[in-house]
Amino acid sequence: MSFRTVTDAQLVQQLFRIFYERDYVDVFQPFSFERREFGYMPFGQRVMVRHLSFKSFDELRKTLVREAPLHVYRSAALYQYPQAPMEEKGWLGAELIFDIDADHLETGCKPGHDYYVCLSCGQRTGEKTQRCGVCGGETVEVKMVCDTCLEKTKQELLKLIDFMENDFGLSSFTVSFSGNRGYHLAVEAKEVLELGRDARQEIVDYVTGSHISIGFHGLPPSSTYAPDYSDPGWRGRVARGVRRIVLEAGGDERLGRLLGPRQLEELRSMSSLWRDRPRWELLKQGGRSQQLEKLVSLSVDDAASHIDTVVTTDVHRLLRLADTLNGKTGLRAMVVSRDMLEEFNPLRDAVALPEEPTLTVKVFHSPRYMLGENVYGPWENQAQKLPAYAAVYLLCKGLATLA
Amino acid sequence: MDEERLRHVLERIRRQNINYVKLRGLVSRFMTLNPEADPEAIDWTAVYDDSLSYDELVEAFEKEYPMYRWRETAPADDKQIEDMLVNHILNQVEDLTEESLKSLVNALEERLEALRQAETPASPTEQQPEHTQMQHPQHQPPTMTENIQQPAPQPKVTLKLLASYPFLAEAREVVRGVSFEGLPRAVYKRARERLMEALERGELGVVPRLDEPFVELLSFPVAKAVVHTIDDDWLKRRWALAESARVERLLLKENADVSEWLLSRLLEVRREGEEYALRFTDYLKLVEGLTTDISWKLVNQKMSKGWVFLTKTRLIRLIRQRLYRLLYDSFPETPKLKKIPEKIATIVADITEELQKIKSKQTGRSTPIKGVMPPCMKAISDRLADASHTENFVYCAYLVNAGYTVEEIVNLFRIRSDFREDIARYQVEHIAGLRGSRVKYRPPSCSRMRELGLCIENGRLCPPNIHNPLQYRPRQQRQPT
Repeated sequence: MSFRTVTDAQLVQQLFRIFYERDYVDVFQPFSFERREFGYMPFGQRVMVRHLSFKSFDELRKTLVREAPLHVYRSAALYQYPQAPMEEKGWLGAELIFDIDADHLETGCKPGHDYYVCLSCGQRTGEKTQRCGVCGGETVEVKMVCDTCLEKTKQELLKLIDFMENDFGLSSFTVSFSGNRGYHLAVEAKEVLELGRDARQEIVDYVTGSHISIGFHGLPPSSTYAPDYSDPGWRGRVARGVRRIVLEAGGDERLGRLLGPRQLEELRSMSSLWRDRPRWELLKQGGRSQQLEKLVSLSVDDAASHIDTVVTTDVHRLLRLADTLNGKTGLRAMVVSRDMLEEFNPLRDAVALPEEPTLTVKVFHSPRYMLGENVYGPWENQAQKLPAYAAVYLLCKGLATLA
Repeated sequence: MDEERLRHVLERIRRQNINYVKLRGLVSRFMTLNPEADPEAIDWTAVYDDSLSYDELVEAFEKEYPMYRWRETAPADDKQIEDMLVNHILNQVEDLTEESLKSLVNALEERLEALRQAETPASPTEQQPEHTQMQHPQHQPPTMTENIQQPAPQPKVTLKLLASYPFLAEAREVVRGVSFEGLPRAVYKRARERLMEALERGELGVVPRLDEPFVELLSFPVAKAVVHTIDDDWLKRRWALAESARVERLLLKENADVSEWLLSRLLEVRREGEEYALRFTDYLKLVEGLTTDISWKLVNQKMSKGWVFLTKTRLIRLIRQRLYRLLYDSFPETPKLKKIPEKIATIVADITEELQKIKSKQTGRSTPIKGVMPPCMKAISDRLADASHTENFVYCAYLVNAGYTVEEIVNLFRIRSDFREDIARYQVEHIAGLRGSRVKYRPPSCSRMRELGLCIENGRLCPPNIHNPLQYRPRQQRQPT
């Protein structure tokens, strides 16, 4: 969604400009800065300004202060001529990038914060629509940032980091909050830069467990080899995943859908036996029961990191520049260090705009939302006095206008 | 060779009870290899023994008359290589001024001194001068990296080794001094044979013939020159494929010390017990094109800390990929022959003719297999009576490319209630490129099919990494090797 009025947009842009003037210091800079393409989305326009390049960080900062854009992007790729049209840029390599976004994840809370609502009668629907099906009034899209969704994306991110560190042996990467509903991870290690599209697709398939075939990982167990808990890579993941499922047998509702009551009972009875080492031979294989196959496929799904697959394979992709402001929320797409990640709460820590000035806005509709240390809403057609950052959040989403 | 003289020699032996054909071969070999010598100086009947095979006979004569040449590679492999190298270098310095010659001599002396110093700690028997020269690192192609983890011990560089692996810098150094003209006939013959085998056998590989390693070694660049002269992309690929497959087969049989040394010359690879480990980035570059077989997908490899673990057999399969690319990519940096020697021109003509034959058979072969339909097309086919306009188009474009005739396709659409033969035929012909723009339409790519919502189960039922429904093959699960 976007701003309701030009005045709304102008006010938010003013606050963004102050941020770039005053607070945009000691921030993330991609390496090989002058080889990058940059782009930005100006306020009030639909077309991105791209194919920009900057000789120095200071040059970029000055541009951001002058333009105060809604969104700022940079290329994952390095180019000979970053300003040239795409075919003439001269691709030199690209960071290996990953995007995890709540949009791509299944979370139970979505119906509570992602919907279309009629501004006249308050009728809600999950379907995209411009006019209310009941009264024909104008509808507005509601798409909030929710702590449950963000926690889920963080779990996917932690799995991804485990893949990067333990399977791929990569440690030089930058993790950043997207400023809205997810996280980005960009691997800067030299050895990945020149990988092509197909190679990146293989990495995507690895991380998502796509086309995994347990036959190549020692299952069904052979006399010489079967996956053990301490094994590296997918073998260990599958073994540990099945262990957890068996130990928790009964607690996992997905299992009830896959296995009959008798089989579930069988699993429970063997659960203590799995504590110290895998007991693959106890699981039925093939035929009608397929215990082994079903448990393995659940464990693969648990261990896979659910990334947005198209982002990683696109070697020309523009990616939000970390530490700039996201125009959909006013939050900062901040870099999060590996040590801080567990503690990091985006809705608290990524608030970058000030409390002052307090703004009076007319809220059309807002579910309950958390920001900073506070909880706001729910509201329906009412005027509210809000700290600047909380008002900007609603203005950006088009759920409120300046009173 | 003097036919008259040969006949004369044989005439005398004729009356005795021996295999004339074998002996004729021996005498003619003698005369070719020893043009100055007198064949009547040999007591042919005394040494000849009918119970011996031809090769054993050559050996017997060689033992009796070691002062003559009996093999193309005789007498000493290493000596011959050295002579060739020195000759080659001498030819190159012919035009130099006295000034330049002097500085060359100085440079050589410095080099010699450095060599002497470097040699001292090593065992003296291993350090024959021509070897040291051949292994000088500056001659290695920049793409080859030495194993930095644990350098494999260097096996003895024999002519047989060079003949087996002619892409090695050492081998290239040896043949660099050789002109393409005036080589022994056997070299041209073998070069032609290598190419014919490449055309016929492809992935089965050129059959190695190491009984005459010198011929084997020299025939490699000759065959390559032929391919380079013909300059046909398919032939280049075919040749690179067959030669790299030849190396794959040799490597599988090679002793561990040789194979490991070679592997380390081509890749950064680490031995871990029974397995070999290479960086995932190297793995990904090599495995491209193999991943339609899911056993090669990264997700199905054992991986830890950035290293992919493979059995020796699978690693050698990857080496073949590496070599294939090395050979195929080597053409642009290889200068073409300015003057094509007659012997090479003959092979060029033969191979071109053979190539034409193969190509004429290739055309008309459609890529997809008729009757084996990908899930997305099967789905449209199942509800063809109600299919949308887009679905009809997609399905028709698929069928046109899958080798169905216009007639067959029109008949399939008869089950539609709105079927009108004239309109259907017009549309099918249009898609088949027989009308209008004369463009034969292809079905949309898999990603476009996904966008159209026509992809079934996001490709899970298809082989991985196909980009178009036309590439669909029924899925086969293969066991790891």
